[in-house]
This record gives sequence, C-alpha cells and structure tokens, in this order.
Amino acid sequence: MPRPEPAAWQFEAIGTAWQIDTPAPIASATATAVTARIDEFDAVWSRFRPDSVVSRIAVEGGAWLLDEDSRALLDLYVDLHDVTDGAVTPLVGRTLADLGYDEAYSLQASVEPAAVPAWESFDWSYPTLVAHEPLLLDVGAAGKGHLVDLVAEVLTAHGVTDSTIDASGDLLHRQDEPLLVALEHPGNATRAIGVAELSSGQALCASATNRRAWGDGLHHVLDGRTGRPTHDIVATWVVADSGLVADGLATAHFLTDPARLMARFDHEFVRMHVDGRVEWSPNFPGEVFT
Amino acid sequence: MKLPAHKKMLSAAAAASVMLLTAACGSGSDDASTDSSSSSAPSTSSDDTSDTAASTYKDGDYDAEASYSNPGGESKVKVDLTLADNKITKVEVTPEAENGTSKQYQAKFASGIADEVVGKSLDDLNVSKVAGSSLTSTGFNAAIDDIKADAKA
Repeated sequence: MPRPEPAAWQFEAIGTAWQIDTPAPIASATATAVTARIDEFDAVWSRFRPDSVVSRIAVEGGAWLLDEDSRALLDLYVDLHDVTDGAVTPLVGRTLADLGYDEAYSLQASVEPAAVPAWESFDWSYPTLVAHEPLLLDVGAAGKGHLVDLVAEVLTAHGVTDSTIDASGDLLHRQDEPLLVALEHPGNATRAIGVAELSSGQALCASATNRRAWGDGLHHVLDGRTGRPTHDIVATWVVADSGLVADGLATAHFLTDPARLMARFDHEFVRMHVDGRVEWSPNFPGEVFT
Repeated sequence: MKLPAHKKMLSAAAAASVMLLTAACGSGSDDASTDSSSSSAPSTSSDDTSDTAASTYKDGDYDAEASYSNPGGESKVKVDLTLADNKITKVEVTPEAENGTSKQYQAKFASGIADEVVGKSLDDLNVSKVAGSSLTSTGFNAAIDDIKADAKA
C-alpha cells in the first residue's frame, strides 16, 4: 500500500501560528475538534479576553471550580513556584499588563506597575481555586505547552497518533522518525547555536526575551520576586516528555539555578546568558555548536 | 464555574517582604555558625557542648554571607547586622557581584558550558524546524510593527 503524502495544517490560534504535521491530511471533523479544544482552553485562561474565567477572577475574585485542563497546569505552577523560590508564579498577570503586555498590546508601561501579589493571596486545590482578592492570573509560562498536550490528546482521540504539533516555540513530536530542530541564535535569526534531535513523545519549548521585548528592557519573562523582567538569561530551550513541563521549565531556566531544576524535573536544557555564554545539560538530545 | 459567595474562604495574610528578610537572615546566620571563614564575628559558638549559646549574644557588628538561587546559579549576599542587648538594631544586605555560578553547576551536573557561542548558519544545517525567538506571538509582532509605523509617521 503506498504511503499517504504527509500533510501540514497551518492555522492561527491564541494569537500565534500553529502547524500540525501528519502522515496524511487531517479530517475536517478532527480539525474542528482541535480548534474547539483550543477555544475551550482560551475561554478559561486568556487574560486578553474580557469574558474569560481569568478575566472574571481579576474583577470578582472569589472561589471557582476549574476544569480538568487546569489541574496539571496549576499543579505545575505550584511546583515551579516552590523550586524557584517564588520567581515563577501565575500572579504576575497584573504586573505584566501594567508593564504594557496587556490585552490591547499597548506596550506602554505605567509609571507604577502593580506589585506581584503575595503567594498566599490564592489557594489552589483541584478543582477549587480561591482568589482572596481580585487577581489577574497569567499562565504564559506554561499554558501554551499544556495546550499543545491537550491538542495531542484530541488528535489521538480522533485516531491521529502520528503528528508533530508546532505552536511557535512549543513543539510536541509524536512520530517514529526523529525530528531535527535548529536552536535559533537569539541575536541572529539566520544562525543556530545547536540542534535538538527529538524522538517520538518528546516536547521542545524555546523561549527568548529579545524579540518579544518592548520599551526599556521590558519583556515578557518576569521575576515574581521583583515584578520586573529578568536580564541574566536571554534564551532557553527545554526538552521534556510533555509540552507542559517543557514550557514551564523553559521559563524557570530564566530565573533559577539549573541544578535545582535538574534535581526536581526530568528534562534536558540549553540556555544562553546575556554575554553569549551557553550552558546545557549533559544528556541534551542533540548538539551545541561550540 | 464560580462558587457562591458564602463558600469563599478566609482572607489572605502574610507579607512576603518579611518572609524574604527572615530567610536571608536565617541562611546568613547558618553560614556564620558553620563557616567561620565567611564571618568576621567573634566566635561564640565553638564551644558547642555547653549550653551557653542559649540566648545571649555579644553586642557588636556582625557580617556573614548568605547564598540564594538566581538565574546564574547560587549568588551571594553579604549581610551586616548590629546587635545590641540581644536585639538586631540594624540589618544591611548587600548583593555581591561575583557569581560563581557555572563552576558550581558544572561540578554538580557536569554539564557543558561554552563561552560566547556564535553558532552555524541555518543554511548549512539540515533541519525540519527552527525553535527560537523569531517565531513568537503574531499579535505581539503586529503591535510592534504598529509602534514602529507610528514612530515613523
């Protein structure tokens, strides 16, 4: 039987470009289910949608029952908050918005951005989230990676087991043939500092602060302890067994000692310092060009 | 789904800044007692078998180093404090620039580290994908373009 032609499905969702590669074109019912799943997630977590659950929590506070999607996501945030001494936290939403990363992408920082609320200002025990005051949650550190995992589940449920999902920086590879991914030099998009080789079931998340930056040293990776952007690290890449963990750790590697993250989470990483130095874990699948 | 208001739980408490300060002082004093080389304080605890350490401290100025975790690894802060009548009357925390990061990290995990990596041209690589900063939020990129356009107008 001849092999079907591989297919690439490209679309826009949650403000970013997606591409799903599969051995054969995705059926339209499957595609509909995928976009519905993304919308469902966005309806809870987008702080850019006034009707989302997080937007309502930001106005009303109070106790909320969250869906199963939120479980692994917020549980990971609790772990990351712990291992980074508070540097990673979903409580940076208001501060990020005040710094200009708001629903209108105003990119105008207010004179006095809000402080990051104390960790104790909310309680989370699945399925109940209690916001003791109105809180603007931001799951930008791990949400997209988690969404990639959720999309993979939808594909599997529709019989599509072989796929490579690429949500612009968050990538989940589920095909036998290894996938080679260049690690883009943050200072020069025509160059790569290395190559990752992903085997089936591995996720890669890349994060860099230089492109998604505005104003005077402002970008989207905040240190929850200071409420200000971090500057020591300019790019990170993490390989893990889920998009969620890869994405969350890609943020954590901007903010904390790699030894602590390596001790706590099963993953591999590469990261670049502001002075161009590069560090990587001993078993990173691939190569760093030294 | 939002729960009814009567199910709301207790209000929050605790000032994070207080906890931070406590933590810094805590590890600082640990260092002082275990690593005499990092402290100029007169050693009062070398005689551990006695229980005189209970609650009296000599008045004076003390300093110690404490470490904390940051992106570069473990960084150090210098903590100066003044004791009078068993109370801390002054605390000053100074970050120390030197960053021993990668050495410590390498010792623990034997990871790779390289000075300024220039990389290779993408044209010379046979890869299926590129992962990095040029592929970010399209909404964000559009906003940046708008700002640039405004700036030129």
